Amino acid sequence: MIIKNIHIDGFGIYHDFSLPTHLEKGINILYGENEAGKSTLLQFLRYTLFGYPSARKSPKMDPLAGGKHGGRIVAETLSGDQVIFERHAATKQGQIQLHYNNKVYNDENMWFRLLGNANEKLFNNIYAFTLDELIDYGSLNDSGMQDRLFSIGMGLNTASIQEIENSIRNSMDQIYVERGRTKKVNELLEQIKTKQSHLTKLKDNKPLFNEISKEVVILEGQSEILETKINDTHLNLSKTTNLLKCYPHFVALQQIDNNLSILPAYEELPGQWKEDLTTAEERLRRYRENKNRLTVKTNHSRGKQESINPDFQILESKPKITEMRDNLKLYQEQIRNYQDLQTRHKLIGDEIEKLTKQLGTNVSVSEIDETNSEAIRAKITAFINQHKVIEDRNSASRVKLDAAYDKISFLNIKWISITAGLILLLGAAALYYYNFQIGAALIASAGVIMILTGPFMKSDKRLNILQQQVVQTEDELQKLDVQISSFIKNTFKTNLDFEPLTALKMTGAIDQIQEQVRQKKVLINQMEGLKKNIDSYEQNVDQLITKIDKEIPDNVKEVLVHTLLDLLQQEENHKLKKEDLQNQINEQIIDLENFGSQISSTEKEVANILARANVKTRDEFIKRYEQNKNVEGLLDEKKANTMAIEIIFGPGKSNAVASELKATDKLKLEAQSFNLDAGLQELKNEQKELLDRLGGIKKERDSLMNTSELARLATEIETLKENLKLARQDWLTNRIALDLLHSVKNKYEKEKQPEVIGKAKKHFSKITGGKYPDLRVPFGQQGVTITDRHEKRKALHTLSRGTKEQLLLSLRLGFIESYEKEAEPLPVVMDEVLVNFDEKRARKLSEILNDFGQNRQILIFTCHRHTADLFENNKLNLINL
Amino acid sequence: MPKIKFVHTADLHLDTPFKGLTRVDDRLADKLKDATFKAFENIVDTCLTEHVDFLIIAGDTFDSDESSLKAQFFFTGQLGRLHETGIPVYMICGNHDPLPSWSPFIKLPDNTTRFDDKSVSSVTYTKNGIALAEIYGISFGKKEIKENLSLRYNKNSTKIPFSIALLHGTSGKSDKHASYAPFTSRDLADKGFDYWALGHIHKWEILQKAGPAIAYPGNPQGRDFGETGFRGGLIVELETEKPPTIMFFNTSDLILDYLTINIEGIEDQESLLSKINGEIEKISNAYSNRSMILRLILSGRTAMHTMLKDLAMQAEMVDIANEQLTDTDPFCRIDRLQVQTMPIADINKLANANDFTGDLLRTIETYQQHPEMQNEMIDNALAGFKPSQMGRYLNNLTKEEKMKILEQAKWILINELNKD
Repeated sequence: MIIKNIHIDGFGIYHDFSLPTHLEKGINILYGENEAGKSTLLQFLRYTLFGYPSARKSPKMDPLAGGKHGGRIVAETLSGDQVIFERHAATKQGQIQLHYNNKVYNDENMWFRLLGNANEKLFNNIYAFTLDELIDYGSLNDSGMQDRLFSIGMGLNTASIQEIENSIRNSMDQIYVERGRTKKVNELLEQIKTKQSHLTKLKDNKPLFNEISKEVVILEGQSEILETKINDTHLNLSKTTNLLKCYPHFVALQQIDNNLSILPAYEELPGQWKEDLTTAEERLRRYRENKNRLTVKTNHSRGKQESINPDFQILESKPKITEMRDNLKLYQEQIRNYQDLQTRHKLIGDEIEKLTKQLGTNVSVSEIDETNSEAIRAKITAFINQHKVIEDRNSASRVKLDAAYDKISFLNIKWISITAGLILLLGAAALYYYNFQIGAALIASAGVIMILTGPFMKSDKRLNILQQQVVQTEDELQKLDVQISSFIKNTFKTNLDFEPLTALKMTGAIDQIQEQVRQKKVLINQMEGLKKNIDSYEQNVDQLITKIDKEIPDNVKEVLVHTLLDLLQQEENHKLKKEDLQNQINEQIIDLENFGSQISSTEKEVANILARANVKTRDEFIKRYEQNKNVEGLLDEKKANTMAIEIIFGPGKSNAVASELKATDKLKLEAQSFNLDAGLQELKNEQKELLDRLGGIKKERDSLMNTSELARLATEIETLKENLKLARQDWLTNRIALDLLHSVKNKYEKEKQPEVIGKAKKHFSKITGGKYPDLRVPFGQQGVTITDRHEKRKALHTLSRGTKEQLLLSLRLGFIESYEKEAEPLPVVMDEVLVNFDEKRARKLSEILNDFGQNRQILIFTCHRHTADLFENNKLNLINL
Repeated sequence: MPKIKFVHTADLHLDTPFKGLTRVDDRLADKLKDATFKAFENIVDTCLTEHVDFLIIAGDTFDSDESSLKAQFFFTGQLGRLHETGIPVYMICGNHDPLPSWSPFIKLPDNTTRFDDKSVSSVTYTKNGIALAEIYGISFGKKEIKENLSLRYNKNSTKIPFSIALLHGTSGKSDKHASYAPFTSRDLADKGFDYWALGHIHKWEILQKAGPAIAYPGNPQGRDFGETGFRGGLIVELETEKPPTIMFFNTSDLILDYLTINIEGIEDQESLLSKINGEIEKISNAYSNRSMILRLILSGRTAMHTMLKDLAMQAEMVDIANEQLTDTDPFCRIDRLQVQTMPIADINKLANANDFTGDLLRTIETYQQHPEMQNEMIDNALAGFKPSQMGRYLNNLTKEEKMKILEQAKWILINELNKD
């Protein structure tokens, strides 16, 4: 098959990509620098032809630049038919479409037929490989290399037959190894054995169970017999015990019968009689008690009543005392008023004395009181007025005289007056100018008057006349003063010279004194009235005190009145209490009388009761009742004892029990009981022992029956057996796999390997320039031997890396040639595999590849341009990526 | 009209082991050991809740080989429950519990009639003083009876309304059980009984619906993968002049079964586990949430085929799947995985290749097509597997097992050759 072109829809960095020129048969060099996408193209070839890798194993090369993930490869079969392989990574395996012979196929059958049924691994490892894959570093050591050489010689990929054998053998060995101890199968067998013996033991329980069961039957029989014995003894014992229990009752019954025999027969006495008597007596007792109590009480009240004696003197004086009390306030007020008046009286007296002293005369108060001050005042006033008239005349004369003196001294007064008038006119003009018309007019008038009057000012020649008039008036004044002075001295009986005005004032003082004297007289009248009332009240009080004949130390009238009031209250209380007690006593007397009549009627009642019971005395009555009660008690006791016996032995059995007890005695019974009890204990112990033993073996038997691990153990054994079976199957499967592997390997070594090795030898020898002419795989051995031209065997590890690569390449080429004898040739794709080759060997290889490419297609990916130089130009198709 | 109602059971096999399981830890072992007991308890419960007239047990109550005392002890205890309610029990002994194997020291309660092994005998069932049914039976007196016991049954000429025969044995052509009282339906048909209560075959089956009705109730608890699904007993109602009604009821609290899961389209372990869980939930619902032990069969074309063919992987898958399942009651366990899937890529593609793998596959195919070659190869290989005492525990390989081994070997090789 020859690939003509590829078209990538989307894959890694490629999107809608085709090769610039077609690929051809023979050598094709695809040149591109690093990162140009050579490896991506190789992957694309692998994935498109053989499918996309399954989950997570390899990169899926998702399209980075867009486009549907995948593409197609256009190829030509050897017979020249066109075929298009189209695959997209829609699912894990990819979606395929094959165009061939004008048909479209969607299944893989034709697809793989066209690929010569080569599988993915074969193609990836033998046909299309990178430098890294040519020789993986893990297999660079000797044995790894051997494996690798061998596997490639077999057409196997990375798998190593040796590793597969080891792996399968390892699986087998874990299950079973002959004479191995710790393997799975042995462990299983060991476990089965252990459990089997355990199971056998469990099954051995059956005879033991039978033995135990037999013993159980025997012991149960014995137990039954013992049970009967115990029951019998128990019955005997309980009868004896019961007789003993009845014994005291039996004795009591005999005693009761004795007692009854000496007592009268039981009679039915009405309980009502006794009850009536008791209640009547009870009432009587109560009445008597009440009467006695009341009598004592009444006597006590009487004594108390008699001891209270109210004072009648005081009680009779009640209206008087009440009056005193009512007037007490008035009295106290009058006393306060009186004292006030006394104070005022004294004050007025002092005032009068003071005023009199101020007057400074020798006139007595009574004289003053009689003086007519009004007449004195009129006289003095008349003097004063006359004096004033004369004085006025005198003054007028003096003024005229002085004016006459002034005219003589100052003649130019006329000019002064004119000058002043002119100044005033000027002032008036100024005022006028400033609109003060009225002021200006007035001042102007004054000025005009002054100017006009001035010339008329002239002096008087009557100066002497004036001097005479002054002297005359002064004389008159002197005469009047003497008259006044003598009047005052007479009137006030004094030698002192009082001014008339002073004398006028003194008459005011006289008025005041006269007023005070008048008031004093009024006060004295009032005081006298009060004094009279006070004295009358106090006299009354004293009289009352005297009358009631009480020693009261205090003389203060208020205290006396209050004392009297207290006494009155006290005596009124005494009087009330005495009256109360008397009322009480009266009521008690009535009650006492009532009690008396109740007592006598109840006494009659008691007598009636006794009469009804037909007895004479109360004692007789009581005795009859007591005896009857005694009989009744004994009968009850008898009944109780009989009952007690019958509770134990059953109803109606008391007589039989009594006769049985009569025939024996207590001591005998006790001895019998003791013996039976001891016997019973013994039997019970025996029984307990037996039951314990029975219980023990029953338990043993139950545990044998109930706790079987049989099914569990057997299931476990069955499970182990199943696992053993599986282990055998597993071991056998692996063993068969191993056998098959060997047989095919042998066949392969015999039939195919020699050819592959033969062809590889040719290539290897040529590449190495004849340095290693021989290459063999000895039969049955898993390794390649190399011999140099001196027929010396060469150890693999002594080869250089380049030589190793050449060897591996040779083997691949050998395999391909051999493989393609029966299949469609596929393109061989190499990615940089020539890097480690020296030029000489590279050239040799190029020659080999030229030959190799005669019938097939070789694609060489490289980033070294000189690689192309290795090949002849005409045989080379160079494509720049 | 006279009418009776009873439960028919057989093959209790009390206290017997489970077989063919591969994963039984202590917890599971504890649960398994009580399963047969619980099933019988369920039968007794049904008798009580259904107020039946009586219970019929048609043989193989326990396995004499297992010598279980507990089985007999438990059995009498459960009969005691019926005794308390006044429900009689009629039983025969089968090949697994022949009459002499019953311990004389474990007494059956008074309500129970165990038929003798000497001859066919009968007892009468009366209800409220009226005789309603006559019940016939004969017990096995030894393990193997080749005689056709059915021929010994003869109906008495009475006027009792119903007659029922208890018989333990193999019907028809079931040659596997041939040595156990074989008979044919025809043998039973003309005897005049109303109902043949059979025992011995573990799968429940109504051989004939009426005239007479003939039925196997099956065993009440499956104990290996040959006894899958619901197991139980029959509730039978007989009424004069009417055909009998026979109703199956389940008694196993623990179900064994295969679960086939088509995993087509599933490509990773996580989805596979979730698919398994989903399917288990479905089957669990179908079994009304009873406890289950399952064998999973994976089928369908899947990319996981190669991976799943690895035995270690299978074991691991079972472990992981079990971890996700509940192990409280009701629990579910996967016992093993059977991989019957197909690879996506045709295996022929590999076989066609002209390389080592192709040669190998073609060689295997040759062996598969030639059983004698296969036999020889396996027998040769088996010569190398000789642990001491193994023969006591392992049978010879069957043809199917040999085929399976070769097929599995093929996948080991394919897996190994395709390892990355």
